[in-house]
Amino acid sequence: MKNKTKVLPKSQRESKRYFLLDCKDEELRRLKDCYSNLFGLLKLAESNFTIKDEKSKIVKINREFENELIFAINYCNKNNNTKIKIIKKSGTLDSLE
Amino acid sequence: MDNFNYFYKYKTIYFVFPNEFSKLPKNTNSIVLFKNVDDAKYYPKIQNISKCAVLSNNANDISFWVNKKINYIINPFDFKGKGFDKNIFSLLKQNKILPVIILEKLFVEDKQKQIQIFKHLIAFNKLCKKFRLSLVILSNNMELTYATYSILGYNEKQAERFLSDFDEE
Repeated sequence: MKNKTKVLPKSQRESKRYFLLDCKDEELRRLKDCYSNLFGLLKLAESNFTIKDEKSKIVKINREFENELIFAINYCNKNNNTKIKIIKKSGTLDSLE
Repeated sequence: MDNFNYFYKYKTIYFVFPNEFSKLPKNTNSIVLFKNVDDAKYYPKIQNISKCAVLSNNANDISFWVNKKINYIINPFDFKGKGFDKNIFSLLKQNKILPVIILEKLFVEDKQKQIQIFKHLIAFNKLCKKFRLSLVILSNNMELTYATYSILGYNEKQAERFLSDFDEE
């Protein structure tokens, strides 16, 4: 596999993932609800799912939970008629803005 | 524009129901989906010229079709709460029938139904692991495919192997 953790530079080894999303303000909250419905409140807490702020449409999550977020986005789009799209993801907040 | 209806398209493969099969242009890569016992009337004509699969959430129809020479069992989720029995899994293994999950069809609008589907997916995956069956997860969004594999407890290498089992057939 190309992404061997040990060869990644320090900045990318950070444990957080930032996702820049394309969606409406209120859809971020729906996404968070979907995430907790799917994976439970315990995993929600563990994943450190955070909406940075509704205007910037940036969601922060611990890196090992990014797959859960991707799955939750697709689930949310079907069940809540949202149209959330991932524009960009990164290990650092700076490279998103 | 395609002048036939299809259930799903993955890469160049069309998943079609038997009544649409004759409308496909020659040499189209296809998988014909049989839903119930009644569809058996189409089977003799199709079995040698296309790959075949069962798409059903009815236990009786599934057990009928896994005894035939078919290639895949697709989204086999029973919404009524009746789980999959182990005999069917032995048959899948024995008859080399690959379980295939089409992710886009796995997300439904009805929330109650959705919860049931996810429950069955998790139970189904456990049995796949137990019987060492490759679980093929298809989606036209590869990121979603790999995310789902990861959630179900497979790493990237395993996921690639499962997908190549499907591609190589």
